[in-house]
Amino acid sequence: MTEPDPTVDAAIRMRGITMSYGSVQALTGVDLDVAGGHLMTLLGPSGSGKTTALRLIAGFDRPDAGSIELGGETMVGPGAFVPPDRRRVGMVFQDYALFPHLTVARNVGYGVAKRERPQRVREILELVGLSGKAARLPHELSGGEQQRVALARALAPDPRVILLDEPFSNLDAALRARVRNEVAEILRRSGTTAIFVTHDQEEALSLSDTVAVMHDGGIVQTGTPTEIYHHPADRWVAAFLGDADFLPGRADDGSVTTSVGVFPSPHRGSVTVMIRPESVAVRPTPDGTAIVTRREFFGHDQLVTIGLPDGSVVRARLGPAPFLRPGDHVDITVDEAATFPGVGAH
Amino acid sequence: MAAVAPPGVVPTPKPSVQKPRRASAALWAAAIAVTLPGAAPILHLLWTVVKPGGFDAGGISATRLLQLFGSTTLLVGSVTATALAAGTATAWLTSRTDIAGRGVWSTLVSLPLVIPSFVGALAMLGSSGNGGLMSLALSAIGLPRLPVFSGFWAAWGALSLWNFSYVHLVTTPALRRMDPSLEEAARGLGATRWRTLRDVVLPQLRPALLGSSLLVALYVISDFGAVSLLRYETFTRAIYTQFRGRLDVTPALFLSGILVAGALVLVLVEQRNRGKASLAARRPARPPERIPLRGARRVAAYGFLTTVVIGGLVLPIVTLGWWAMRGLSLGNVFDPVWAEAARSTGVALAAAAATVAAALPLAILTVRHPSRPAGVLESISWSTYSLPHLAVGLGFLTLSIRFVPAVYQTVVLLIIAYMAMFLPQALSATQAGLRQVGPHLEDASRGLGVGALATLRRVTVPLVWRSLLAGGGLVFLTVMKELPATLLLRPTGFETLAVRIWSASSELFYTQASVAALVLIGISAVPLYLLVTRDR
Repeated sequence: MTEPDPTVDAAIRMRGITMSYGSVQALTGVDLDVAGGHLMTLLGPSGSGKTTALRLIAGFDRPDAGSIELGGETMVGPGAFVPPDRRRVGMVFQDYALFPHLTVARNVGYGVAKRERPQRVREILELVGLSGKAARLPHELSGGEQQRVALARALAPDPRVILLDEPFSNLDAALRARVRNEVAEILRRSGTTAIFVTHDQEEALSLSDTVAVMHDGGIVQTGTPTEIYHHPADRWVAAFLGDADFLPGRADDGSVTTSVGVFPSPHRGSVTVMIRPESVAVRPTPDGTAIVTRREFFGHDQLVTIGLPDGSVVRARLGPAPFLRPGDHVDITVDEAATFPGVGAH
Repeated sequence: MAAVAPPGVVPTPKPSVQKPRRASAALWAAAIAVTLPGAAPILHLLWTVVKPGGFDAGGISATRLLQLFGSTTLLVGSVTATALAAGTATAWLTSRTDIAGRGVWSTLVSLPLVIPSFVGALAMLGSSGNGGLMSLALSAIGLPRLPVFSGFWAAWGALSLWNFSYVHLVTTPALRRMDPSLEEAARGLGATRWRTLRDVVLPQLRPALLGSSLLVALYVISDFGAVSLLRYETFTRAIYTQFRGRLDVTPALFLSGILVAGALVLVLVEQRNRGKASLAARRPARPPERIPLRGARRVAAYGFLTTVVIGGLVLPIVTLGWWAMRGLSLGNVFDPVWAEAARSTGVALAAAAATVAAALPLAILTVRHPSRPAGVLESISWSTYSLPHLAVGLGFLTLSIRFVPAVYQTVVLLIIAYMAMFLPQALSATQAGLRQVGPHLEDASRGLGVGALATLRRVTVPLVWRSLLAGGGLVFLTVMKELPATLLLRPTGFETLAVRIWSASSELFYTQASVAALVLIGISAVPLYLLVTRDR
């Protein structure tokens, strides 16, 4: 699913994009392909260059070097620069950027040719479920509705791609999950290629077909949500995507032995083994060799920190049920682990 | 100059959040084109002072120069100090104490701004001397008549009275915006009221006080009408006398060059202090505590406010009205000054429209694409704005005679000069408007397939429309009151209200001057009222 279909041109293709603001290097040679109709997430901490990448695709900024193609047409390249109004790129801004002086209908119709405007506005408002609010002004809408107007406005001129910049960060937590699913659904139904930028791992993993993880102005890993979560390219990605503990080990003959078990390893010699707390099962038993050192209770689950006999530490995410106290003896088993070559400092 | 904050109190944008983007060549060209007319006369004047291979004083002696320098400095220093004290006092009384009718008082002490200082000087002349209104009132109760107001004390009084409102207007928002929790924190840490004032309140007010005193100082340096009518010799009066008295303009140009150089020093001081302004730019969660005034202090507060309102607003208007009525009842031919009023209004409207249009590209450049060169363009326009209009007008006059004689003594040159001199008024209003419109809106429009100019028309202008109107209103007001540059640059016979007031009062036709002055005040009051109520 995630491999770009070689028969279809990549809808978005970036090659060797570098960009700096003064002395700050924002992007350091970014290559990116997004297949037509796919939903791709750029995931990274703030300052990693995600928004810069979006703005370059939209044409609001100009890279120092590199090329960008949309649907096979060169937008940016040596001696070429297509201004944003001729790129057919829809952008949904973090603050929505709805025109405050225009009604919902006129916002949505803003980028549509006059002749097609009434019809298209009706269609799109129906798609996003806001037909009844066409005459409202943006400030009369709720946050979730504003979000959908912004999406509708971006979709209305039938863009080649849609770019969404942290689109859910202004919504409160309760609303966010619902709106997120609605937006993903609308995008899939409209069949538009989309990139969206977020720093929220859960959002990225739950929403997209493909995730590109950005760090310090470069893309460090691209893959399906499952791939990057369970097989991160390096220790930084592993820690950024979720809780993880790292144990040292020696690998030979395709497997590595650690204090919590034996795991397959493609690497040889000194390796680091990554363990997600979800992969750790805990069984309380008086003659267990591991000892609970800490317990954080969250209601729907709990995170238990466990000290191993050799002094290393792993955490386990468990359901609310077993009531463990610091000092309890337990046995643990680990279902799955990933390995990286070398022993990195923590 | 009018009721707008100088650069010293306009918070400069921090470009750190929105990354500056490259501006298009067309935008740069437009911004440079609108700044150029302001830079030309200044460079011309400085050039006349420091010509290569010599220094042409045009026969002005060093003693004379020193004399003018001394008298001008004395007036600038004394008026600035007085206006600063009075304006801070009214601002504090109307925003931080519990006196009754604070809002009304705050408006009343701002209103003297409707009276240009030369009209104020006219009213002072009309109330003193043998036939003056106050003299008559005093003699009616058996007291000696007042001598004609003239010289240093008269000029000091007039300029203080009609300038302190700038300090009031700039300081009031700073006082109101001050976060009370800072003062409470200081008190909670054991600081006395006095130490809190010194260590917490004053440092926060510093940008406003500094900015407004520089504004007043620059105004006094430029003032021409009031010092001339009240016969106090400063640079501007000497320049005009030189210019009128001789065929050779060299001495006038030389004095203007010196004056411009002096004013530029103040402008640079002002621009150096810009950065501090952001201190007062936040809005606190709740209004600051009001200090209760009791007994004698309360009486003194009302007394002070009443005195400045009577002196700055009531007396001049009553005097002007009395002269107008008296002349009419004595059977003087009533000259309705309609033609002058129409000319003033027309030229002020045209200048306001031209200035707002010119400010737009410069505002977009400086707000959306902040950069050092853009800042230089902005500083140039502020410098022209801050310089004495008489000197700038003289620069325009000699430049036009030498290089573009076709526009010499035409309304076109007059409007270009107004535009160059008052650009920052429209600029700062437009910038403020643009800063409130997030740049994402324009990006969104471009992303939806709409070009740069159409985006300006469909998104930017509709959203900053009110700011454009406000900027235009300020320019309109200022042009209505402008005297010295108008005197120099107007076409022969092109009498505006300001020119009419000036010529009639120099010839002691107080009735005629008073009628024109009342009409001028009446016309200015409309946009001023709109501007003042908009800020509430």
